Amino acid sequence: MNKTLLLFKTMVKMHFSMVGKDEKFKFNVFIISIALIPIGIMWMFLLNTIISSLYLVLEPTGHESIIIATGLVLTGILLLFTSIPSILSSFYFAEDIEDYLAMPFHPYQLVIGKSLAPLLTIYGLSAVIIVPILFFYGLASGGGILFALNGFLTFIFFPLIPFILSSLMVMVLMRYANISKNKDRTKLVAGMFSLFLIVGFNVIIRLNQDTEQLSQGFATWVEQQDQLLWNFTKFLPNVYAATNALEVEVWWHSILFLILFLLITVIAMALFIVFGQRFYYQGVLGIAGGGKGKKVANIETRTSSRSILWSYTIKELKTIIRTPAFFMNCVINSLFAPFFIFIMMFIDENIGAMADTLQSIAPKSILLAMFLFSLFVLGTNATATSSISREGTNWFTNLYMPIQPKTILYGKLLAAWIVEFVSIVLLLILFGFVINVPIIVLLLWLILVIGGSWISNLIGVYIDIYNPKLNWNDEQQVFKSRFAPLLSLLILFFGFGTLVLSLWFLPFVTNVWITFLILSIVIGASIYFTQRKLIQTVHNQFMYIMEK
Amino acid sequence: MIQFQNVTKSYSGDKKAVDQLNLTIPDGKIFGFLGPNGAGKSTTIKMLTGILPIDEGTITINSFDISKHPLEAKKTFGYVPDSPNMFLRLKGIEYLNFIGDVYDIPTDQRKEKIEYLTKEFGIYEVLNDAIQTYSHGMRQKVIVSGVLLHDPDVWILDEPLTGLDPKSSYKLKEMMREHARKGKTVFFSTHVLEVVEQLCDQVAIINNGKLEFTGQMDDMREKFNTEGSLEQLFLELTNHE
Ligand SMILES: Nc1ncnc2c1ncn2[C@@H]1O[C@H](COP(=O)(O)OP(=O)(O)O)[C@@H](O)[C@H]1O
Ligand SMILES: [Mg+2]
Repeated sequence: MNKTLLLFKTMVKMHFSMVGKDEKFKFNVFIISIALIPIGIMWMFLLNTIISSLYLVLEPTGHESIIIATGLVLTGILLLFTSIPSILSSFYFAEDIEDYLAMPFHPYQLVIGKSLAPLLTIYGLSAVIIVPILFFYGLASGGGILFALNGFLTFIFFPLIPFILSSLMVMVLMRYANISKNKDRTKLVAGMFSLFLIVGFNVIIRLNQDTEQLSQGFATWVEQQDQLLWNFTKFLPNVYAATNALEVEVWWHSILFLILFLLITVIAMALFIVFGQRFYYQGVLGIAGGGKGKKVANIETRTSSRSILWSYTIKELKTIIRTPAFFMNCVINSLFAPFFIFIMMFIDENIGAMADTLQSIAPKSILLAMFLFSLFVLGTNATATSSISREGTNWFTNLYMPIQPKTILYGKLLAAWIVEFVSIVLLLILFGFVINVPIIVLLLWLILVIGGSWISNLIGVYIDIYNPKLNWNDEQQVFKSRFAPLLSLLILFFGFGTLVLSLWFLPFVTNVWITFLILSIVIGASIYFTQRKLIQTVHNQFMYIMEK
Repeated sequence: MIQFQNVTKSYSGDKKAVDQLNLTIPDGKIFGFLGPNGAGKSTTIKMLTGILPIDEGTITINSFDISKHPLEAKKTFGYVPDSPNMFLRLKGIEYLNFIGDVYDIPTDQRKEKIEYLTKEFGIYEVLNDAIQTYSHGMRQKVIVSGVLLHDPDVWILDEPLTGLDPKSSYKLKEMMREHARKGKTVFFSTHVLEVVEQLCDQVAIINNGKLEFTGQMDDMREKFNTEGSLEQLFLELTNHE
């Protein structure tokens, strides 16, 4: 046990070694916290409204605890799926695994130590979901000390079970599927798998929704699903136990269920250790080997040379496409939003109606809405905000070769822009063929959004230069616990959001052409100034990036 | 020719990784930079190649100041870093083509040269595999091939022989000799005295960031024999592997 603790402590130390040292980081945390306050308040407000109104309706029927059950089930499912990629990368694909494998640790000790990173993600997620749900439920039901205590214990122990379930799934899968032979493909498949699960889950929920019933009120609907849900929780005994423990009317009843809940968790933890001991090594050993070299007799050497800029851009793109963590985060995730909307649209029978309504909306408003929405989709793209960080400790390779800092900058910008262009094409299809936006508006939008993509990448790279994360030992870490993407999105959104809103409401801007003109002037000007500033920054900071 | 003038570097705090270094590496010689682990060799080489900013002093390569004219200076040298784990997602051939693009190698020479070099080092067969699948030595060979591909005047190699098999090690040494014979510059670091004795015309010894000695090989041996204070250093340089 001592050794397990030691291992865990070492991993904690390594995980946090780069965090929170400098002033800039603190400043970023501060700015982002402030920007997140309104979003947080909205989230709290939403949850509070849902919970308190549901409670009002359900309390007379005695079904109110279904609120907690629903909350826990949904959170559990969310945690189950979101933790799979991080478990995979932490247990199996982290670069430092090899170092630990050579040390005299039991498999279960390594597995416990390696749980740190996924657990952090999981607790972060459940802190913003479970805690407010329990809090507002407690407010509505007037729960006392016992409720608070049980709620606290629920928060601490509830997330463990979904985590353990996904870990077991992953460990068994890695053991038997023997997919470890191809590390990269496995990572990719796993990432895609959980994405599609989330999409599929949404589709199922939407298909099952009876709109008729929905309009009668959510509460009635929940009541009708009551039996179903309770049956469902039988398969998730910890939800059942936790929900009952949180029903504090009869105190000994509550305590009994609390003990049951803790017992279930302890059993799950024991299972985790046993399975870890049994399966972990069998899956992880051999991963370190890498792929087999296939002999190719005829080496095809490309005979046309490229310009340095283009060669560099291609190198960047190849790296993104071939590195599963980069591909998932930079390409696939950004396709997700448009793709998701596609599905929603196709499922919805009202799509015809939407195209009709569009005819009656002013082209100006359509253009503005489309532009803002696209900015959101592009702003979530992680390619630009990771462009320096992706290099990791190999950043130095940019320094000794005779390539202008400016060229490197443009190469990275161009790569990010090409990646984003894929999203733009998808949006173009969505707007043009599914929603049937008028062709003129569509063309104006395309011009604006191509510029918008460039400015969003300028901002992204700029942020990344000032606070790159170069000391990672697993590619997934490039995208973990970083503020750069969020900061970039917020800047973009606050900047262009206010502009779009004022254009929307300004009475004298009615014409779509004038709107287009104003937007393109603003975009052009911001590109001009940001780009100048960025080139200057790169020129000055180029050699010092490694030292940040 | 490479010239260091009063070059100083510290990473953090007072301890200097490199302290007031003055050194001239002439053309036509193989120059060994010898010192135990942590002596400051890599730090020196990183400043020389423009990877690390220089705190004090100047470095010139073929009379180009690396801080003032980085691009011109960088065009004149080829660098083999101490750890060859880079460009891992590219295939060997893609990496070499990238180098070809960066250093403007005419395409008609490229194919022939790549074929010749990689066959010499025995990595021709794996050129279509990602560098990630290469062993340490193979990664090193592909990077050395990249340097030889653009054929710079100045070679800078950080512990180049570590991890190479005897045959490749021999080949690389031969190539270094050949390059020096042509009147070009070869500057490499090592922590192994033996390597310096086999290969070098001139040597500089660095310890704790300070230059302990610079000169001909024969003078070095004499210095080790006569100065008792160097005994510990001598042990560190010979008791290896
Ligand atoms: N990135 C760094 N940050 C802080 N100290 C460093 C760093 N790199 C090297 N050092 C320190 O500088 C000194 C010289 O290191 P280095 O030049 O790598 O030695 P060598 O290559 O001769 O083995 C050592 O004391 C080392 O600890
Ligand atoms: Mg070194």
